[in-house]
Amino acid sequence: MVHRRDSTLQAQDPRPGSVLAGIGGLVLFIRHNDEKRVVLKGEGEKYERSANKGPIIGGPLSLIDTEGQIVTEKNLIGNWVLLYFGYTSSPDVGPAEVRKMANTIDILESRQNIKVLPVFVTIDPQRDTPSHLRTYIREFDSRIVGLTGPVAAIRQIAQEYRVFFKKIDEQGDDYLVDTSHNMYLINPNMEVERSFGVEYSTDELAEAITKEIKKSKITNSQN
Amino acid sequence: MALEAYSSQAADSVHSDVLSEARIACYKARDAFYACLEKESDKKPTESASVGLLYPAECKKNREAYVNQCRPTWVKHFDRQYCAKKRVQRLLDDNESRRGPLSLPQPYTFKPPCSC
Repeated sequence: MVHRRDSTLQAQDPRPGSVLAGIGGLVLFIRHNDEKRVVLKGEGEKYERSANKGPIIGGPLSLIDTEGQIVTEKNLIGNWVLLYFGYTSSPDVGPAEVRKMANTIDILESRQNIKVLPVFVTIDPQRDTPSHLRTYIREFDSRIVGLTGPVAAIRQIAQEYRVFFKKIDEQGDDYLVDTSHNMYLINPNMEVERSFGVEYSTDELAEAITKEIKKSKITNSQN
Repeated sequence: MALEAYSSQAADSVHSDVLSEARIACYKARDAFYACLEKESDKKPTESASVGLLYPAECKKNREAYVNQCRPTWVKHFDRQYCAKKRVQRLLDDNESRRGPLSLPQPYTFKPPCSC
């Protein structure tokens, strides 16, 4: 049975040799092409930054604080910053995270004598206007810096920090925002050191931040 | 400049329904409703809430208070959360032999193992 099939196959193809040669040629061509494209070790461009440091997170910002003043990255340089992206209409996670932020800076200051500047950036600037944001934040801790701004500026900073946000559950004018609720620890040079998710408790967050700051050689210039 | 145009924008109002006092009142009304739902769980659920949640007529008053105290999107969010919690509970309490692999919510940022 099998033999017979082979022989019929061969009979159908008039020149099996030429097909083989064609495949061989193709393989040689691909190999030659690969050899041409390969970059030898030590040659070519250096990708040291991406190889050692990973993706770049963060960047310049130009937003408005709760007093209507423009705030840029220059105002934040020199501080350790705990940066949180949220929105005041969040039903449960938002208030819990802001509370966590306030309690964490309390712990850091009283137990470790570490000063960290808490910053709340809204991802819902249409509803979180400066005065609303101010009233909301004051109920937690007035040391928290609230930032809002034009939609384009908020979108830019969210993209720089790779913050996901999406309007969901729209009911008339009312809606929720689906977002990751992550917090970033930023060093005095405005570089992101770590990010923390909602699963960190206040104590865990304070401990992780302490460890990170003690490990880092950069000291707070304002201390 | 765009920033200046923004700060002079009108409608810089305060939405008091998400501030501390209203939030706590909403949480209280919500908890009272779900407590009623647990208490009256043997009754037939005839009334329909949001996201497919059903509740018995005995909890109608609690439901009304809850809906009055919270934003509609919040009610929907909490109802969805309650249904998800119930579903997990049902899977966990279900007959051993019928139990399949469970996907429980997992933390989603990397947490290095504690070195202390």
